[in-house]
Amino acid sequence: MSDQEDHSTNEYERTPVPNHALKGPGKFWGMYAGEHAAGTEFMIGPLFLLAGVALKDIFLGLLVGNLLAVLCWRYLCAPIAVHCRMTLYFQLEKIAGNKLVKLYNLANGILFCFLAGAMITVSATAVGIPFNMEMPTIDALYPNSAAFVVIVLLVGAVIAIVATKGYDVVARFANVASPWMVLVFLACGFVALKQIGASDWEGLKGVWTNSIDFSQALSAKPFEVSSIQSLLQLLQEKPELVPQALEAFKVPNLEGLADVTSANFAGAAAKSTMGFWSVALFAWFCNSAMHIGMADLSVFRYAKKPSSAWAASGGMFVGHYMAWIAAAFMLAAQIRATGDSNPVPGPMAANVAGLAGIICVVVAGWTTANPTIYRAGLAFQAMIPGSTRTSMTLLAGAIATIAGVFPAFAWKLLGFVGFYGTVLAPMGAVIFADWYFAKKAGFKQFAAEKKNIGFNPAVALAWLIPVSIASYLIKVVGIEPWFCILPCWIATAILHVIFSKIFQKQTA
Amino acid sequence: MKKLYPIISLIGLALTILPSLVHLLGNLDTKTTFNLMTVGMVLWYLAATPWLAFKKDDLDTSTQDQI
Repeated sequence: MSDQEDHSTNEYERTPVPNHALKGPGKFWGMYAGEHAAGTEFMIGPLFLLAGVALKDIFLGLLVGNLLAVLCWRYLCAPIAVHCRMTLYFQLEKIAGNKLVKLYNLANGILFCFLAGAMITVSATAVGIPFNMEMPTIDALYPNSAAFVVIVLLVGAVIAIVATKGYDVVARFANVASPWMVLVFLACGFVALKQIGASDWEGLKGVWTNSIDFSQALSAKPFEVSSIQSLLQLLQEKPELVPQALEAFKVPNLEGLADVTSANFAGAAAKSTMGFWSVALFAWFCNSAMHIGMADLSVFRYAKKPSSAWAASGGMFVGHYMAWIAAAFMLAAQIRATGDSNPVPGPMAANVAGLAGIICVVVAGWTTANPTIYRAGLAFQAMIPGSTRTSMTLLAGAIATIAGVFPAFAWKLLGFVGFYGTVLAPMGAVIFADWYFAKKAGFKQFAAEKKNIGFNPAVALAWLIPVSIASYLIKVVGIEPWFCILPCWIATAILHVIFSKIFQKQTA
Repeated sequence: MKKLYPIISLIGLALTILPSLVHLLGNLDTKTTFNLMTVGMVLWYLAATPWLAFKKDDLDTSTQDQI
């Protein structure tokens, strides 16, 4: 990102950060705790419940995964950042060339648009509450009402227009909102626990398991609904499904079916699609673009010592532990209270925090989508010579808003976040391998800078071959993306060493 | 007035979290809990905006992925 002209810390983009500009560890703790309590957390926690993750696996999987993520920041990213004191983009440009960096940035920008789209959907679910908007359901790929489309378009338009004003305004608002949002997440968790009504671990586990069994019975084919009311409505339209429904819910007749709740559900136990390792790997790699992907070189280039990277634990254990678990409890509480397993953030937050919850969803979605659209706009501007930042930000906002109209992007957030890491994190392996193995393996460090080239084919092949194979495995074979990120990263590091030696020998 | 902003902000944060804790552990009803949280929200934004919004950003957060 070369022209963050309105960001207050845009100095030292193309020079190492000097000693007088270095910051103590306290600055990093505040930044990470605030940055990782975002709109996405409202979706990720409930999606764990709907994926059938056991309660123990959530607590332990997130503990292990977040710890591994913090160790990656501390021992992979921060040492290089403190040594080089350069941004990801500047360091990558020296290795890969400016044209390849633009391509990486474009991939980043496109993925950012869809992430922003999901957050526009999240905000719209809260904005729509006062208008009695019909909420999109978990099975919906397309918008389910004109009101939803109109609200998404309005929310998206406001976010895009504000993003054209620059990063600074949004960053300032996010700074104000983040301490409050962290506490609202915690408060949501407390109220949800009260509504769940469990007095000990076994009680909580029982409610959690019942919620999973109940919600999976509803969402299973051929029903694919999120509440008993929707199921009864479906059975009125398709009476041929009645025997199957009575069998699935173990009730003798439709009157019995109408009385089924998560508490008295007697149907089959749910099948989990995510176990301990899936949760741990997801937590480890959901920010992989930042730690093993080295994007946070830009942050830790200001650190006096690599130990400042322990601050990442503030973000992980506040945003990706407490907030995810609190959000998951919000859905469990909603299922228990209303029998509705639809993980729509607005109503879920309203149920456990009232007006403050609704505002928190709007603010969290907005403060997530806004900088994301801004960054996507910069990436597009870098790709299209002569374009203005305003027009490209509006283009990014339009793409994000169109994506936001389709709620499926929000419901598929776990897979999307995994895919995002699969595409972007391997570039960090290039930086890692270039830094640690260039001398040992006998190839030139910072090859693009030394050879004065804009496109280093060694980096392009090392990045695109593993990413293409992983994309095939994810999209065609159906492997969960969080299983692909680490193999992809390691393969990219090895291929960078091999291709650098081959290409540099050819041009020597 | 400037000296009051941090105090009012902290009262706002306290009203955001404490009612939910009392609701969980004690007998505070849901409606009162939500109302107190709303008051906390209003106090926080009224006082924290002039307190925090104009502080210079010390770190480059522009690469954060917001996940």
